[in-house]
Amino acid sequence: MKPSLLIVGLALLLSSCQQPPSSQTKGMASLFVHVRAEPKTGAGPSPQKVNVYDAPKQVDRGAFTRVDYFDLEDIVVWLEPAAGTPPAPAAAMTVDVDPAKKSASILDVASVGQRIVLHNASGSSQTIYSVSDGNDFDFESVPAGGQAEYTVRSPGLIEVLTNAPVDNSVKIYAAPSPWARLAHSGQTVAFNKLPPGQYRLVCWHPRLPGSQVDLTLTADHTSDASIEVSVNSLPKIEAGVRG
Amino acid sequence: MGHRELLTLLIFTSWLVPRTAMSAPATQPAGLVRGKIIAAGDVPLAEMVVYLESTDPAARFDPPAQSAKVSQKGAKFAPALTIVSVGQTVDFINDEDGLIEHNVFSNAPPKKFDLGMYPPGQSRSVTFDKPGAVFLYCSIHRYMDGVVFVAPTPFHSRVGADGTYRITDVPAGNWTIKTWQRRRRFKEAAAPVTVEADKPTNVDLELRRR
Repeated sequence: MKPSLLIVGLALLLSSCQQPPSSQTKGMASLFVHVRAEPKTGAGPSPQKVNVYDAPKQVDRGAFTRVDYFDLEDIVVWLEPAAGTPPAPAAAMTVDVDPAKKSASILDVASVGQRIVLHNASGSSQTIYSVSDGNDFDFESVPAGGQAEYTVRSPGLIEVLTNAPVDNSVKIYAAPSPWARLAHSGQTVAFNKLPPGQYRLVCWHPRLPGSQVDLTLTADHTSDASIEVSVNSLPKIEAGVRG
Repeated sequence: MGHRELLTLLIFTSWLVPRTAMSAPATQPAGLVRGKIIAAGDVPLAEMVVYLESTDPAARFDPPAQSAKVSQKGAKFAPALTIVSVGQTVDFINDEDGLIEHNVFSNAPPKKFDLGMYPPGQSRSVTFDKPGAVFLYCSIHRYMDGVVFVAPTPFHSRVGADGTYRITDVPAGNWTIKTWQRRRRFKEAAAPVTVEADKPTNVDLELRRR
């Protein structure tokens, strides 16, 4: 590729990044959030995505597989207004529940007040329930293909269980606000049509500590913010010390 | 003061010692609490704990003096579930054969900590001062996870695969018995229990969805 073409391409790419999202509305604000997962300070580099001919080292396989901080999943990002109440919850979301399908990941993000349609995607009748704190429910004998509805009461992780002996669950994270996204590290997520004002940007991860940032968003303007999950924010216990 | 008066005084003062100071179950009349956990359906009961909580909120119990040990060999916490009582210390030992560093951490509310990276042959210690489940991870190794369950008293038992449990050396008195599941599939169960000295008390607990 000619260098001039490359420069033009880069310029176009950069200019497109500065544009407000297409769904921007006059008088409203937008926000790009750059989501990061920070490895332990001093740790060797995480395995980057490699071409197939770059076979990983033996030590990085099986139990010794390393955390990929460049592509860490299950990061939940949300915005909370500093004053006032968040807007009405989003429309109902549908979640397929099938105990035969194993998933360790967070399937989706809901918000408090949102309705979740629990669809029995298995081939047999299931009791669909949850014992998660603040979001317990119990729907007995939902027929195959049938559904039940639950309205989220509290923020936090909701594990949707069935009466099947296999220990599989569907995990949904309930954010306190409908301005919420499921993201992975390295991703930029956009929040559009936000009323101008002060916000708190928060992120959560099932293992790593999240963080929060206070922001002021102005009308007809797109702001940028970064947020990270990292072990580095935890209290340190040094050698020879009992923490 | 004669021998008899001294003995009377000793007995009297022993009554004055508040119950909250009871901390050496082996020296007191103690009982046994045993029973079975019953769960609906064919649900595995592994990695579950039964423990006693005092009905006296001011009660304090000395933790075992000996620390618990958790191995990290093969990038696995062993045991995967460690049960300790409040105030007890756990030594996290890097006993890898190869030159593999680990970084044990937890973001759990009862104890947030980061032990930093350390090589084989070294150990780091954490004293758990609040009850609850402390989920463990390694910041380097993706599949390395475990849990330390911190019971509020030293009176606890891991539940067997058959659902049975046995808590020994329990001081006589009134307690609340509670369950904790690592993979929570039911609401936790709780029940009052009165323990009599030198006598087994049977408590079966049923786990329910609601």
